[in-house]
Amino acid sequence: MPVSGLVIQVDPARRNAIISTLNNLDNVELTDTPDGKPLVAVLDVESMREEEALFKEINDISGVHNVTLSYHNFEDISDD
Amino acid sequence: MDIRRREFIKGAAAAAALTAVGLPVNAMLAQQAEAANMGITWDKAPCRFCGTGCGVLVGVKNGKVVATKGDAEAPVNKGLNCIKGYFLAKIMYGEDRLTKPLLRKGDKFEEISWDEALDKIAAEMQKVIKESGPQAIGMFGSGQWTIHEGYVASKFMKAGVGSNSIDPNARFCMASAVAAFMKTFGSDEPMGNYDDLDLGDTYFLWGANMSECHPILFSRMTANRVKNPNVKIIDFATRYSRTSKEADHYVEFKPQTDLALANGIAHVIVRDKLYNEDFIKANTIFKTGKTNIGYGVEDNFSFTDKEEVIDFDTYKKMIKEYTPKKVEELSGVPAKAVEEMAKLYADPKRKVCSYWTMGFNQHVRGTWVNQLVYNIHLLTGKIAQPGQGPFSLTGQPSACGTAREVGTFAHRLPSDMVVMNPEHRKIAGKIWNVDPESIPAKPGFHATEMLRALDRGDIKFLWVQVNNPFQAAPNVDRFRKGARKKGRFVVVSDAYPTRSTEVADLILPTAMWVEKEGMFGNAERRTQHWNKMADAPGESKEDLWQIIEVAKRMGMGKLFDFPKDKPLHQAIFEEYRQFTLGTGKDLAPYEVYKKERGVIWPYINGKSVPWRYNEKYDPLVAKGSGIQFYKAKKYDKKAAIYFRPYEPAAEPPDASYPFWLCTGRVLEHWHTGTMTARVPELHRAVPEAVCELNPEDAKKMKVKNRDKIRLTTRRGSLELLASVGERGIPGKGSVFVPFFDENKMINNLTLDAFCPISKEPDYKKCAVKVEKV
Repeated sequence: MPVSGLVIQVDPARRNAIISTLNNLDNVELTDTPDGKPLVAVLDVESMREEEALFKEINDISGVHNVTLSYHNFEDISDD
Repeated sequence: MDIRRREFIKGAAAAAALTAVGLPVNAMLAQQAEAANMGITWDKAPCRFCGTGCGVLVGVKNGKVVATKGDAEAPVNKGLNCIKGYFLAKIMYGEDRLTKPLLRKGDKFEEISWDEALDKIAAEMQKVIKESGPQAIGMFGSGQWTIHEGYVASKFMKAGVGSNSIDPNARFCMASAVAAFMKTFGSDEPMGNYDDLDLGDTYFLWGANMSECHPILFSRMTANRVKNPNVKIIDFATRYSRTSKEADHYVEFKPQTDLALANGIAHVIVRDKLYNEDFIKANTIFKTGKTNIGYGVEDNFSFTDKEEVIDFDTYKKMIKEYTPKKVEELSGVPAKAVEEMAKLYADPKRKVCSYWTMGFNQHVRGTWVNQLVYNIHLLTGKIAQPGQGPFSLTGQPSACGTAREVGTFAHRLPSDMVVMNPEHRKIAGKIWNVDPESIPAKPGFHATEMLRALDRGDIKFLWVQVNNPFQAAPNVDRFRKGARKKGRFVVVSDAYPTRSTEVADLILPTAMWVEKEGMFGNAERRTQHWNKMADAPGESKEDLWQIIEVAKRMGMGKLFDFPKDKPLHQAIFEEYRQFTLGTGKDLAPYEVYKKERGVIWPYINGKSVPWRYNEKYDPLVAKGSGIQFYKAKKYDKKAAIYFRPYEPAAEPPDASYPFWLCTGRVLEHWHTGTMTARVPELHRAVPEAVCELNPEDAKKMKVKNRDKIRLTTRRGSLELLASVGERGIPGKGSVFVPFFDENKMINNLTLDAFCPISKEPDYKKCAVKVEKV
């Protein structure tokens, strides 16, 4: 059950719409960041496969410039 | 994991992300992060994958890596990693990790002891040297070798075995950039650094899909654009990619015609007198060289350039033919766009950078096309300044640090020196404590020719480390057959079974990344150190240990008799560092690297030089010079603007093979997939290579997305699924196939033509037939 922290760079004009989309995604928790700063999200999922799929889904949201990873803990599945 | 710990880890994840974007972390998150760290030991390392050199903090528990985070103190990535960061640790724990030496017995491999393996290698090498001479020994290395490993390998081959036939897979990756930097500036590697991504406002990308292949650098560029709406990103490419989608302008050109396009931009700058005359007078000379220089498709191809100094007026006359109209005819880029791009490059109010990777380097005129972009920066004087300059990106973590700086190429010695120069051999002989005459003066076989030589029998013993040439080489089927011919002995050191271990006689299990101490040098001249943090599985050993143990068995142990008062890795580095001091490529003391998040060279008077050749930042520039290309000693410390014409590709499409075949990478897989394909999640995401088609071409052929198609070139045939309208869209008349898939060996189809100057193969252009199956 990996946990990761993401930084999401967005088009400022579409920030609110992107936040709304992210809030509707399962297993994604947004942390408040001020306007002008990237969005910060925590993914808490069952498998690395889901984690990667979510990463890509976020990356493909219209107005998202790019998504980067800042933290990844997979101690539960390090013996997979 | 209990719920409480899970909450702590989530707090740690949020805290790391907030830190990465420069926001404060509240007390609750900070406490959760601290609690999450219980039992985990953290230490710094550069990422194992591409040449960006992102800093990673690696979390280890009970000898295994269990977590990673972007290193907020790392200047390269400031706490961020790309999607490959997810898989950094997991690549180490694939189920089929090699753990014991394996010797071929017929069609099978049997486990043997390390002593048996090392004795066997020494005996095979000595036999070949006795029967065929040292030139029949080859070593195929890598830009993934650590600096220590590359240094030991180079010394072993050049000063010990007496063969210069050591070449890295970096020859397949950025040799054209090396050749062009050396010819133009007298010294390899860029003058700027990654801060240019934050400081410039106009970014030209030439054949570089940065969004997928260098995502962290691309994110710095787009972050700059969010802050500064004046920033423009221009993507010159032959395939529409995610980078193109994010760019402000996508300029598509026909394969090979980047030569014409760059000349067209220079033409407009010269025609409209948009150049910086003072800069040109003070800092440049003009040169030209041979034309119609061939393609290297035949064995034992050789080429010697005949360079000639010309003047600016002659250059003006030569460039005159590259009118925007002619460029449009050749490249398909509208003349108006050529004019606009030239004006953007030359606009005195704009700070301009150019970035490129394989589109330029893997090119039968790779050296030329690199030089043509330098020309634009030299004509406009936009070079060696914050936010301005040309910059070649690299694909491997230590392509610069190891392959280029240590000099693990068949013709190079450390610090820009070459085996052909007796003075350079003298310096090497002194540091290595060997007779300079024992270092051969003739360059060895370069990578492609080494594999051809193995097939011919001119190379009889080949040791491959940290790479997979029997999947990655162009026209690879010939070389795979060559490796299995009688009288050849192939050793492969790797962490996993690969297409190269398949053709080996002996396989050695290798420790990887943080299972050993090491250093990588990234594309911005930053050298980074890491400590050994995790245990290698089974009997895996690091590559440098393997080489030194063989050397001892061959009576060459003295070469590696380093001072005992220091740890081995430090002693190796300190010997290597002697090559760099006083050369303008000066490296720092070892302890500095242990402490810092990498150090950019040259490191002079306790400080890094962020912009080379610029008096404000570089103490090696003569006072009052402003900009001075001091490594270009032959031409009074001036850089050379070369006239290089457009010439066609080696194998353009024709009636029988009407499409261009271009190969490359995808985001989820790195190079030949030997590491990333071990990660089940990645493998499921992109399980097999597909062939991207242009939708109009697909429609004409009645091929739909995911239909099966067959590609055929003059060298081979391959069936795979079509990708239409998915991730990337090649230009009309072109197809694109990634090379990661060991079950879809696209390099059985590619052509082993190369740039006659750099000897780097052109993986981007050969003729192919496409049929619906």
